[in-house]
Amino acid sequence: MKRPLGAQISHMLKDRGVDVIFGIPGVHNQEMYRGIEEAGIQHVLARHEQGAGFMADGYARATGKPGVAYVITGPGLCNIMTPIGQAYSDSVPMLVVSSCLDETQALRGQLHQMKDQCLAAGTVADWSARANSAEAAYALVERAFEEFELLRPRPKHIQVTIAQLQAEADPAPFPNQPALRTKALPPDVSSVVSMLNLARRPLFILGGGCKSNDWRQILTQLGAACFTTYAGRGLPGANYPLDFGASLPRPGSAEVIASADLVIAVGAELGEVDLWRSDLGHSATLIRVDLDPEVLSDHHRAAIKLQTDSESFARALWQATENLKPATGWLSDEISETRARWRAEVDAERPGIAAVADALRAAMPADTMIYSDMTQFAYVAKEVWDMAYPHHWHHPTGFGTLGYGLPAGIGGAVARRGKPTAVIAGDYGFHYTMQELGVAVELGLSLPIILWDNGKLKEIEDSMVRSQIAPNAVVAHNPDFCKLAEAFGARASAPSSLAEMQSAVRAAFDAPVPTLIHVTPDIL
Amino acid sequence: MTSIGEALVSQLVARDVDTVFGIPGVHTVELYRGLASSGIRHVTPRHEQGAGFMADGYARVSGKPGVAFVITGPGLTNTLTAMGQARADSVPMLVVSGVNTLSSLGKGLGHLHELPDQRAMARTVALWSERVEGSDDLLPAMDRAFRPFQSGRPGPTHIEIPLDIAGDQYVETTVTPGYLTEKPEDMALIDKAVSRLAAAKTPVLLVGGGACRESAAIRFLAERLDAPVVQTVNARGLMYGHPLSVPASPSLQAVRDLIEGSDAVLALGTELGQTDFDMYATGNMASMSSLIRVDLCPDQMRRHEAEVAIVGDAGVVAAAILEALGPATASLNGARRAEAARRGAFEEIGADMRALHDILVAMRRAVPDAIMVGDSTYPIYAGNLYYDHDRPGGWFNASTGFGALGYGIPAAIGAALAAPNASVLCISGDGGAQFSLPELMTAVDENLPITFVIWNNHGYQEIATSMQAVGVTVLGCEPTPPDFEGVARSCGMPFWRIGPDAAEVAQALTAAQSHEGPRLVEIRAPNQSHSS
Ligand SMILES: Cc1ncc(C[n+]2csc(CCOP(=O)(O)OP(=O)(O)O)c2C)c(N)n1
Ligand SMILES: Cc1ncc(C[n+]2csc(CCOP(=O)(O)OP(=O)(O)O)c2C)c(N)n1
Ligand SMILES: [Mg+2]
Ligand SMILES: [Mg+2]
Repeated sequence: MKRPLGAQISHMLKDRGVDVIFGIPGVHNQEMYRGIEEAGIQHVLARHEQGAGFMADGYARATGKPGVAYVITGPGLCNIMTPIGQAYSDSVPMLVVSSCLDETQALRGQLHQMKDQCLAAGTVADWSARANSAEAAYALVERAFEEFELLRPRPKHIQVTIAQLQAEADPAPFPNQPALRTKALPPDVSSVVSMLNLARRPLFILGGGCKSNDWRQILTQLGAACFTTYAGRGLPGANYPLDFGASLPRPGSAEVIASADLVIAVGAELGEVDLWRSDLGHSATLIRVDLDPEVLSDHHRAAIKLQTDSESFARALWQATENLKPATGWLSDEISETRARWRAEVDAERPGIAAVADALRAAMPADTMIYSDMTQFAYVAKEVWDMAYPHHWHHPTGFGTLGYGLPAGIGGAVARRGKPTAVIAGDYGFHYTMQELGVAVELGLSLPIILWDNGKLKEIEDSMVRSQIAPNAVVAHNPDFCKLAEAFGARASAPSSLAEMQSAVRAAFDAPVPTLIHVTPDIL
Repeated sequence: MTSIGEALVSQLVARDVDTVFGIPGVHTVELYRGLASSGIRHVTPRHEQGAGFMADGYARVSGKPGVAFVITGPGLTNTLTAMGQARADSVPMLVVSGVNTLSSLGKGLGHLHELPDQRAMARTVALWSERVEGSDDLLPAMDRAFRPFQSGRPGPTHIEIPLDIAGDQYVETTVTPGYLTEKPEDMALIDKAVSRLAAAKTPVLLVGGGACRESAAIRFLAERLDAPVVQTVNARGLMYGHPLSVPASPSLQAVRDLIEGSDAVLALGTELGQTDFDMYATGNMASMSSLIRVDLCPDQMRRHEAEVAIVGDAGVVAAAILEALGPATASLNGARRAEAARRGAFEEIGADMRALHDILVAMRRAVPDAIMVGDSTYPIYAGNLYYDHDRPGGWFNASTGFGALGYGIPAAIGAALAAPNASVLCISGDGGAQFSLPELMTAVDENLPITFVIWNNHGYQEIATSMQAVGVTVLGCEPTPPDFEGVARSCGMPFWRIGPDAAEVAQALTAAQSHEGPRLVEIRAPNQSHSS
């Protein structure tokens, strides 16, 4: 059936499994809005395109499916560049479709015109391309989905001219079935196995690129210890006795790593934000397993490099080591002592937060999916809050942008209706995207939003103090957060004890709207 | 020891910068070392987009560049929209950001806030993007960044300082700030313009934002030529109440008729852009016989055919033309032609827009000599079509040019900081207000006397109406607004809720004026797209 191309694109996306689109309409992209509900897709209206982008990110991280956003030409696209940048650095599959002007060379000064929109998006996205025909639009969408499936997931931007969005077009070709793809052969893990055979203290570093295989079984079978990156938390499950936690940035982790006689990093970029130092600190052989050649070729000097996805690797490794004797070089007592020491370090650096984090954790179901913002609370929680499940804590790690938590949490909650989702944000960072509260209210999301209010940009104040700068520009007035939340139709609570906080959190999971839970350091 | 970051701040002081809009981060702490003692006022917005729009509002009102300090990566991506708007509207703006350590750039090491190529990104909206890699680079980079503010067409510029360089010792270099001397306007061209204008029987002036500070020069010239003065959105307020003033959009037929009936059109500081001259996208604009253009930007000149094209400052050229013209000889019915255009235009905009116009007039009467900053919403569209403002440079909004929604609230904050004694009114829709609502707290921080007026028609009326017009089932046009009273109270701001009625508006605005800090007025308005 012929339809305007704008409408056909939504149908095409539906055929490829897209159920939700986040966006903001305008005159330029209105043809894209023709097809959304018609195709059976839910539209979530954000309050700012930045919100739409982070929601798509949160949705993608919750489901593993691409998050899709529709925005207008010019300012709509510029507004979503920060989320695209965040998705790029954290390897999140995201597709942004925008309108664009038909003619940009002969005509200047048109509404929403910018120097070069496609190029601008290309500086943050994996790629950015302009479709000047239905065929081009379909080919680009197809390519994006193929790459989401096969390559390191990253955000893509497609822009379609207004004239083409309006023009009648045939439907997109039916999607290729993933089953028809020839899957890659199982990776050859023999070299890994022979190294493991000799190792007494094998150490795994599991990153966000690891899918949810049962890493705990594999680690147990091998007698291996592990670290996770921030994004890899939960991969070994809760209380794995040989888990060093997400403590790579601890200076002491270098010593532990140096004491391993084999280090295997899987799906971990090992970038600055993973380590906060340039060297991993290993002295033994390093094996890297990753999809991305860029990661395999980095400065960490891997001796063995396997270019494969983590799932295939895990499966092959599991099968090839079933009869291996577990290594015996790691002692669980030693590891728990080390972790206790590190926890004390964390608590000394940013005092008080760990206890609040413990109480919060105890009040949340183990399968709660948490979205955090750039706040000291999150930096502490990362190291002291063990996760029972992988991919259940999402943080704007690489690009490190404020304002991520709330909208990303909304995207996650939309993807997981009926399952618990929570948001953690700082008082300043919450401002960035607080208007998206209205979206959570509209959708009736039972979302606890834990607002850690220390009355300032504490992380920056600490940094100024460390640099011997008299703190300035780090205190901003806060509104009455509870009243503000209520003005949006949300619930609000200001607990004065940890027990009150816990009951507020429990109630929030059952509330018909989001609940802002205002927590200050005085709670202790 | 002075660090390069501190030296940059001293350079800003030397260049007469007195206000910086910024959000500090670990990547920019060095810029803050010298800031507190520099005498520069630092304003902390709630989002870098707010910093950019504030810098824009500040620049439009002060005539000086608006300056923003932002962090590497997301800090800069967050300001892109504001830079895009400043670019489209030729607003002087300097954005200073951090960037990762020099040795890491371009390597994709996964550093915090990393981008593949930050400057390449900035260049897609800015006029210039420069990196300071050491002491020697600082002055040249500052010169280059400030150059477009002094000569040529202004716009946004960007300087980045790597994380590992900002704290390095600054070694003074001998380079002195190299200001460009302005090139004198071409007298031969001016003579040519003068002879055309002197012979004209029905001259008309088209004046754009590039001339919005030249109230006196333009008025004298218009009076001498007896020429009606058509003002684009950014030039409103230039000729308030003057018989020659045509404060109406050149997209309207009545105004087009005036222009087409003219035998000499003098365009000053306008890019003749679509959002002013052809906002209904008819594909053409009023044909102009004997067009004389005066613009700062040579590139602009190439885009429209003109009989005489003078590169230069609108005020300087207007004064030169006036001088060369000598005294007037005959009346050319300027006032009558202007009146006919005004009357026709007012008729043409229709009853709904006229009602909105009347509300703007009520605001003007209640708060004379105010700076009215707008977002993309109906009363602003009405004013852009037809409205005579009583303060030169006192009417601006972002519904033209880049058309970035959410501009109003932060730009009004910048305006209020630039003109501490002026009354500032900010008019946003409920949809646009939600884009930048958190910035209300910045107005509270600074205790600014701004009246935020929210035209609340419960939705994106403009978009819903447009969807209906093309048979799209309306979707995504109803972002449930918050209870604005609750928002105002949570920010500690006084609040009024009124109907869309000129008398009520006047009353509420008058009452609001007596409060010291920011205040909020909600106008509950009908939504035309809901009724159909
Ligand atoms: C877009 C963006 N701008 C600025 C920063 C720098 N930054 C990181 S943390 C922070 C302060 C956040 O304050 P708050 O949310 O109150 O958290 P706290 O550190 O006080 O826990 C800032 C400004 C950033 N990461 N992203
Ligand atoms: C960043 C951005 N996103 C989207 C748009 C498209 N847009 C233009 S006007 C408008 C609706 C504004 O609604 P509101 O502020 O309530 O004004 P109303 O039309 O209802 O008066 C939208 C979404 C835009 N101009 N800029
Ligand atoms: Mg804080
Ligand atoms: Mg509205």
